[in-house]
Amino acid sequence: MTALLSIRDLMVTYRRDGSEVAALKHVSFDVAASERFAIIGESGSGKSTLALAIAGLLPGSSKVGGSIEWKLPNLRLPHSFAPPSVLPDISPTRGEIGSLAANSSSATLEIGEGGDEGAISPQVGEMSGRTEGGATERRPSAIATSHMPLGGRDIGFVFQDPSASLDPVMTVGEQIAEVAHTHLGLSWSQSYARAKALLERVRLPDPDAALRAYPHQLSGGQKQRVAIAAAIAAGPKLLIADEATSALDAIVQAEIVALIRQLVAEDGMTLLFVSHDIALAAELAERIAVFRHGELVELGATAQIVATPRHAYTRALLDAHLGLDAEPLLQQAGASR
Amino acid sequence: MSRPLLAVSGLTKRYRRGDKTIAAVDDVSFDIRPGETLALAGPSGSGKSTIARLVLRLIEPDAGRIEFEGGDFLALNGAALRARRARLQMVFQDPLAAFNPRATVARVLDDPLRIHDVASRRERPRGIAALLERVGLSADLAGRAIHEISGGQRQRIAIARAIATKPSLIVLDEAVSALDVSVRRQILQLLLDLQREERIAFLFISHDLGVISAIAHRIVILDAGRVAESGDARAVIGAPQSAIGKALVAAAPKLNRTSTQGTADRQ
Amino acid sequence: MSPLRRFLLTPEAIAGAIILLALFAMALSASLFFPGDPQAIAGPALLPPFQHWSLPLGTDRLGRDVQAELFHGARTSLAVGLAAAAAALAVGAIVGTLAGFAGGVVDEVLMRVTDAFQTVPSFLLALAFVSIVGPSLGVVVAAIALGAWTGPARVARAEVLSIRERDFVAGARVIGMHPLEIAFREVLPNALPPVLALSSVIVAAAILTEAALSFLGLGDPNRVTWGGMIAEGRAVLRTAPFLSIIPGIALVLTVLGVYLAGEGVVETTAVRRSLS
Repeated sequence: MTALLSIRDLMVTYRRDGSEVAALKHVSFDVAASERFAIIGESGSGKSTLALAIAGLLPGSSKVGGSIEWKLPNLRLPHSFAPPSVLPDISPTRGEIGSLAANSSSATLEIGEGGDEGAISPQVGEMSGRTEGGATERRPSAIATSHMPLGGRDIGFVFQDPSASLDPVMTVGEQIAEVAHTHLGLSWSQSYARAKALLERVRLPDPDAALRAYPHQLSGGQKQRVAIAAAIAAGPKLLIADEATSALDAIVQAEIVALIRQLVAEDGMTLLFVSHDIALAAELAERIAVFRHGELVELGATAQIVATPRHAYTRALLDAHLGLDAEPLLQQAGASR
Repeated sequence: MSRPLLAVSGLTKRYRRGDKTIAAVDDVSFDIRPGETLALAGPSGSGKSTIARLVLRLIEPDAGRIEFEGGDFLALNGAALRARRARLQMVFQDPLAAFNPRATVARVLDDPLRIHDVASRRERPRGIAALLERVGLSADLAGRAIHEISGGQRQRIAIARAIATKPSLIVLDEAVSALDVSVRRQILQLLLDLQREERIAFLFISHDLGVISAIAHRIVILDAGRVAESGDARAVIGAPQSAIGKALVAAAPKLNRTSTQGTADRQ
Repeated sequence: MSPLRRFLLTPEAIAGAIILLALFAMALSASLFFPGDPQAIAGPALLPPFQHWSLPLGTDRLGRDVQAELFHGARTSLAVGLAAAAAALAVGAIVGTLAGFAGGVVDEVLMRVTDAFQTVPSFLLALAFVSIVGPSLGVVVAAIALGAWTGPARVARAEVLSIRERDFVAGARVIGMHPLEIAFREVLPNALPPVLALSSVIVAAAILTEAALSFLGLGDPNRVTWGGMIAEGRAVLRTAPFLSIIPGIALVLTVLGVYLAGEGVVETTAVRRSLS
């Protein structure tokens, strides 16, 4: 498998009322092209910060160190390693040091990754064929000179709250068509046709009516389908879903998860699924990274994480899950009544 | 069978949207016995939270009866209703939104003690400390502002406020849904301990069947404002009969921890 | 960062604070530097400024010390401005909270009364009130407040309407709190920030209205006011323009200072709210 992005020694610090809070501490891992990768953790684990950092959406006041290196095909714009929005806060020396440190520390974090590193697998023909040849060789150099992908075109982002991420005064059709128009250079009529096709793909009932609808006229699940349609409108290589199903009820959540699974498979997208729910992540992802307090605690294949977790925290998370088959807490209480 | 603590019958609440009337709650009936946990489950829009607000008289029903502790709860008004509220409490989903953003822990716990004359002005600080201890928190927390403490601590404070007036029934509206999984388990354990020791009944509203099967005696599954099915919680969840019950069970994420095969490629 | 430090980082806030501090210093030191009646004759009439060391700003038509009048006038302006704004904000916040929280008939009645007050120009309202009741400091304050409480009432009501739907209000009802206690102890304090943001505009407007009333001779006759000084100077505008210009400049600076400082406060609280 070939890596789509390599994160090395990523550090993110927020400034809050004068003091600095480390949201991510020395995080290093790779995400392979076309894999379904879950990032799980509780509140304060840094999982959302990580998603924002990868998408280049961190607020300008945050301090970023380390590198996020992309191996995207067809990238033209050379950029520095950091998202443009955070550039002013990063000194180049800091980045160099971060990258150097990453190479020495990366071994410890790759336990769970097995043989994913390095060799290009022939199975992933579509992606590897278009990968720039020099990409892998460039990585060991101290200065990370990767290309920066463009939010919206190369990365689709689905947020937790679709009511907040959709524009309330634009119709659903306009919002999706705008993405296609901006990033694919389609004419407006072509963009609308594409928007309609996308609404069909996300299985919104009556896509014609939905095109003209405003977000407030749709239910929470329908809004999230629209948000997904907008996120994939430009055919991104990476789809990031940040707690995209947490605000929905169980039935709609299952539908949205099934939809994401299908879209990712059909388009060969890489999925980054950020969630607090390890059971939900296990149903969808091939690999799971467990975060706590800004640190990567454990990374491995889903089956291994679920069946034989190595870290006590992962085990605690699994134990805390209350499934339908979980032993009832009630009987412990009832027994002593 | 003991006499029901809360008996709800034919409860109906309609909303007008444009020129259409939508029944958010449509002829719903159920009982809760003392010391029992009854779960209300269902997808969003099924009327769970509306029922919670109706039972608490935060909104008024269009039809139906609510009997609480043997009396007509809907007949109470003004001071009589306010006095009765001591016996029927609530814990909200979002512990931050449930408190005045300017409040301190001490003030939040002082209010019910003062309003219902549970303790004299001089005794109240000790009452607050006892409540904090009761929910597993340090008495030092009393001076802190609500926004300074963690989400789990806030939900413990919400429970402390609810039990301050010695209620017989607490409505828990998605009370553990916003909490981290590890905190959620501790809060559930705390609720069960309180139930065992003080025989408090719970009306437990949740969309999470895993949590329900862990703590509820009985379950009522709602669909579009109507009761779809009801019965023993584990029996219903184990073998749901209604379409919505089956859909809810199917949708719950399952963690297969014994298998060596990943569930990732299950379609 | 403390709110005070953030406040002091905005340049307009610093400028406003300096002007206001100077004004307060003038008002507080008026009887220290100029004991006795500021309306007593202190020298020859119509002495221009900077002619005599003991009368640096000159004298008016009756030989009264302009500097003494200016200092004592600062007292009146500040007292009337602040008192009228405080009264308007208090009445507005209470009316708005009651209307928004009670809803129904109470809301209808209170808001129609608000409409009625709002349709009459506030200056006319003040003029009419003072001419009927008679000019005194308290009446002038009441007259100005009468035309200024409607804005705060509307803002408070809008804020209360959104706050009363929040969970913590439902929570207060569930624990059996009395509706009036919920309205004034739980809801009102949370509705105040946008209402208080209006205070700088209201104080500035109140100071101007007071000056205008005094200019028309409807101020408290026993007190020196800047508006009264301008009116006095009007008769000799060609020969001694300084008599109108000096209190005029004081008035402009005061309104500017109040406004700038108020903006600084709003900015500071806005930043803090967006942070949290």
